[in-house]
Amino acid sequence: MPENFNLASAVWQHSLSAPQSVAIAHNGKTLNYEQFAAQAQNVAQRLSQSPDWQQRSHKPMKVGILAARGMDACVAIVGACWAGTTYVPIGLKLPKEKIQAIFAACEFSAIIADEEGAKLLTDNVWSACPELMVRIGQAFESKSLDQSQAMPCQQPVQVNKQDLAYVIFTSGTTGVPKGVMIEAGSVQNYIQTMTRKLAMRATDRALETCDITFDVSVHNMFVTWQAGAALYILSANLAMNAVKLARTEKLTIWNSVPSLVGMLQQLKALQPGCLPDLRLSVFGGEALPHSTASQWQAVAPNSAIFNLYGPTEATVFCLAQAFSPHTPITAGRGFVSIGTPISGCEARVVDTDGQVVPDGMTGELVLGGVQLARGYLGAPELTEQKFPVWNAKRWYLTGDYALRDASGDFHYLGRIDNQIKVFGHRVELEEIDAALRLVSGRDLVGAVAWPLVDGMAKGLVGFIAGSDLDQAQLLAGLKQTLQPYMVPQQVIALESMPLNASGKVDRKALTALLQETAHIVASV
Amino acid sequence: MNNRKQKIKDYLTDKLKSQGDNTPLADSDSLFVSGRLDSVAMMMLVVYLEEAFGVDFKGADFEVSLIDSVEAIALFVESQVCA
Repeated sequence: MPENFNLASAVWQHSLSAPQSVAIAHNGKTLNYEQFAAQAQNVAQRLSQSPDWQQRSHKPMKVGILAARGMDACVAIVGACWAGTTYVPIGLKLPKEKIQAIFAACEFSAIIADEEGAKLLTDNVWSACPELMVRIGQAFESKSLDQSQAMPCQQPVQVNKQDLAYVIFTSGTTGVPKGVMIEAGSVQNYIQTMTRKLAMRATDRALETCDITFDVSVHNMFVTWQAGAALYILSANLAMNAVKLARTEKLTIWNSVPSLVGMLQQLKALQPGCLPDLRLSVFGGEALPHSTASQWQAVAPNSAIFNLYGPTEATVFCLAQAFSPHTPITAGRGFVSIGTPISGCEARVVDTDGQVVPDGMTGELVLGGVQLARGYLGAPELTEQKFPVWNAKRWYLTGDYALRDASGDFHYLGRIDNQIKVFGHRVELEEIDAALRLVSGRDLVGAVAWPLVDGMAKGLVGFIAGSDLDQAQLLAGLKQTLQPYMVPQQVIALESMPLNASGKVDRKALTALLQETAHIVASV
Repeated sequence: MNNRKQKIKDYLTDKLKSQGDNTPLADSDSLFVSGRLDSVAMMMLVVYLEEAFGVDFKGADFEVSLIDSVEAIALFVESQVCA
C-alpha cells in the first residue's frame, strides 16, 4: 500500500481511461467520468486558493458541504478530497442552532453549497467564519481573495494515512452533535477491502439511497467509483421509487437500510423475481431480520446478499456476513449474524471490566484496527472514554450487545441503551421486536418501555405496522414466545410506523405517541 | 369519478391539516416529490386507498408519481376500479 495517496484518485484515473463511462446518474441526468472529473477539479482548484490550503499539513483544512444528496454533493466531496482537505457534510434539515454549533466546532476554511444549501447560509452563519464559499456550477464568492490568482491544485494531491478524510456528525442523543474524525488511512483500508470483497466491476450500476451526512454514503460513493462503476442516486422524497429505478436501469447493486425493504413491501412494490438483474445487495445501518433477507432473496434471486455492521466511529462497516440459507441466525432476535471482521479490523466481546468473555456469552462489542476514528472533534474526554487503550491497544466501545458463537461469527443483540428493566427484570427491546415480528409476520415493529413512572419502566407496549391485526391472537402468540414479564401489555397496530432520518423505527416517536395519548386521556 | 376524487382530496386535506399545513391543495400539487408529505404518510395513503376503494397496488409497478397528486391518484384508482 503506498504511503501517499488520494482517496478519490480512481475518479481521476477513470476520467482518462474511460471518460465516457457514467459515474453518476440522478433524476434522469448523468455525469460521465470526464465531466465529473472536470467539475471536481474546478472545486479542488477553488479550494486551493484559500490561504489555509498551503498550511494544511500543519492544520487540517476543513471544508463544510451543505448539499442535498445528488451530483453536486458528489462533485463537492471528490473536489475536497482531491485538494487534500477534510470534508464535513452538514445536514440541510438540521436546526439552525445545530448548524451553528457545527460551524463553531469546525472553523471551516471553506463552504461548498448547492442551491438549497446556500439558502441556509444566512448572514450570521456566513459571518461565522468561512473565507471562501464555492457554489457548484456558479462563480464562487470570497470575502478577500483575489479571484484571478493562479490555482495551484491541478490534480489530486497526495495525502498521508494520518490526514483527516472527513468529519461526520452523529446526532448525539443528548442533543450535542458529535463530530467523528476519520483518517484517510481508515477510508483507504475500507475502500480497498470492500472493492475486493464485493468483487466490484466497472460495469456495475449501484443504488444510492442515503444522504452524505450518513457514512454509508462513503461506501456507496467511493467503492462504486473505485471500480469505475455508476452510482444511481435517488432523492430522499423518491426513495420509494427504488424498485422502479432498479428495474428500468437494470441496476446490479442494491444498497439500503433493511427498513426500506419493509416499506417497499407495504407499498406492494416487491414481487418474487422482480429484480433479476441485481447481482449484489448490501444491507447495513441497522440489524437485518432473517425474514427480510429471505424475502429479499426471493425478490432478487440472482443476488448475493451481504449484511454489514459498523458504527461511524470505525469507518462505515467493519464486520460482514454473506447471507445464505445456512447463515447463522441470532437466537432470540431473528437477525442475520453480522459475521466476522473485514481485513484490517478486529472485534471482541467483553464484560464490564474489558475482559473478553467466552464464546456464546453476551457482552459489549468492542472494535479495533486501522478503521478506528481518531476520536471526537473537540471532545478529548469523550474520546478517551469511548476509545480506551487496553494493553497498549486502542479499542472503540460500540455500546452494542453482542456475542460470538462457537464458529466465530458475531451476533448483534441490540443497543445497551435499549436494555431496560421491567420490575427488576432485564429486558432488551430488540428481543421484544423479534417476537413481535415472529407472531405478526410483519417486519416493521417496535417495542417501547411504557408506562414510565419516575423514569422507570413499568411495562412494555408493542407496535406493529398494519391495520388488520388480531390483538387477542397476537398477545396469545407473544405469551407463547416470551417470558411472562416480557409480554407487552398492549399491542398497537399503526397504519404506518414512524421512522427516523436513517429509516429505522423511531422508538422515541413511539414513546411520544403514548405520551400524547396519555395526556389526552388524562385531560378528559 | 368526481365523487372519488373529492373523497381522496378530503382525506389528503385532512392529513395536511393534521400536520399544520393549511395551504389549499390543488389537484395537480405534488404531495411527496415536493416533500409536503413524507414516506410515512405515503404508507398510510396506500392503506387508505386499498381500504376505501379496494385498489390493489400489487402489480402496479409502484412509483411515487402514481400517487403524487390528487389528479394522479384519482386516475390510478379509476384505472384499478374499472379494470
